[in-house]
Amino acid sequence: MTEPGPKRAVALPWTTSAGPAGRLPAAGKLRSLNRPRPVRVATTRGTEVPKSIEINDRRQRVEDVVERWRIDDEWWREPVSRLYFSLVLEDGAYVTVYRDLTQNRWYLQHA
Amino acid sequence: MCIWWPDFELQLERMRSEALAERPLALAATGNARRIEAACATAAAAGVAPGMMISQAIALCPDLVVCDPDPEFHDSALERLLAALRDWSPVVERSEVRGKVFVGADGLERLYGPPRQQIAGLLDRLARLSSRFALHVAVGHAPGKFGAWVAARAARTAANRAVCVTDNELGSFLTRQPVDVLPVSESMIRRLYRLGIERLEHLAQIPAPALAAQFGAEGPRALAWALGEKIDPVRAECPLRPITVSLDFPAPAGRIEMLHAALDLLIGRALRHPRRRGKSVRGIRLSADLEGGGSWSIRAITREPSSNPRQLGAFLRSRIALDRPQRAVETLRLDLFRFGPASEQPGIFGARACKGPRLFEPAPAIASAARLLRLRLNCAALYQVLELEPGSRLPERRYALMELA
Repeated sequence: MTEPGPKRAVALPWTTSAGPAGRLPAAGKLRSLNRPRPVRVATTRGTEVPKSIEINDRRQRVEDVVERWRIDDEWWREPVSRLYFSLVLEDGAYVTVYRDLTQNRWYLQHA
Repeated sequence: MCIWWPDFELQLERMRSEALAERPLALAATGNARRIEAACATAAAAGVAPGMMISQAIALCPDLVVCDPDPEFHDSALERLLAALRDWSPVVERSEVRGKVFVGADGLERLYGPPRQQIAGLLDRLARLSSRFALHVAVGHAPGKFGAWVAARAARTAANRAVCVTDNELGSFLTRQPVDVLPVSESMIRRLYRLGIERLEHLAQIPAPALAAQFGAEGPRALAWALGEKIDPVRAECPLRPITVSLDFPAPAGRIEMLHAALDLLIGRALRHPRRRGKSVRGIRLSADLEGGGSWSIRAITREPSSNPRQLGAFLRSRIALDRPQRAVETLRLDLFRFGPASEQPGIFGARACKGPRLFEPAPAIASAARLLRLRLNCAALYQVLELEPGSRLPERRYALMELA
């Protein structure tokens, strides 16, 4: 299992600064919506497939991996490399998580 | 209980004209495209299907009689049936299909006896109205609307055209039914068949998470229906008290401009009606008696409630453009049958032409409120969502919050 670290600030071309997620922007500033949130994910041994995920201090088993896709972008400045998984949890909820391949950390995000 | 008249409109046309009793029959759809809306069993056996062009249908079945749509006549017949059913039970609910009605039978045992006896009594009552109504009806008696509808569907082929299912039998009865009875999207039904899941018993064996993974929220919902876990009660309809205004033309009006002028007049009169005061309009029905018999109608629900005559006029004109009366109009009638709240919600933002991300200007009242709140709270209190790169591969790049000022 990988431990989540502090969130990596993604600089948007329209933001004067990337504030912490959950706080509203100050006057005259933009804040991107749907920012990724760090999350604890346990993977199946020897693979990158999530086995369980901890959301709001509650660990839930992954019932099914619906889809997975990879995004590699912006190699010309700060490379973005993410491996997304769309998951169904044991309570039937749909979530999307990704592994930041440059930092080796997991994040939760609505895709 | 579900009372279902398959091919309701076609049966009514046969009642209207005895000459049609043995002929293959189809009903033309409303609208400018001349297509088939419904076809009787004989016409269907010849290959006529709903959605087909009328010319194509006649080529397949040369004896076919195609009836013009007459929604006024069909609706008034349905109202007569509903009135008869309301005499029998106070809880009557119509469905989205004209010939399908749900009747609440809970607590009526002491009045009418056990379910079989209830059905017999109800059929007698319908027969007094018209023998054809009692002859071509299918009745399903089961807990909940879904169960009753599935039972009525099964009753279509049953000898006595009625199927009763008790609470205990519901689960086993449903498992024998095909998956297309489920009240889910057509795409889900198609996928179920493609996956080899043809009956509800096959569906019932699949775990809920697996269905959620395949079909999203619709999957577990379908499972609950299939297992008989979901019971949807029949709800009595509030009787509608529409505002009706009409206009008789001195000579039948065939020109669209004349209809538009009459429409504006009717909207003005309907909006000035005392019962409309303090309410906006949501549901409108425009109907007409046509020259040489027959009728035409359109029924529409507005996206936003409105009491602005110009908006309502434009809305109805666009609907008329899609479905024009086929003949000249003798009487034009406007019914306002659904109402919304009194105040009209103005748009918060007005579009501002600019390059780059789409920016919107708040209405002056909103902008002033935002400034006052900022002064009071000493921080920003109102924000708007901006569309930045909606097509971006990175989800956090698509939208942003901006302070409203």
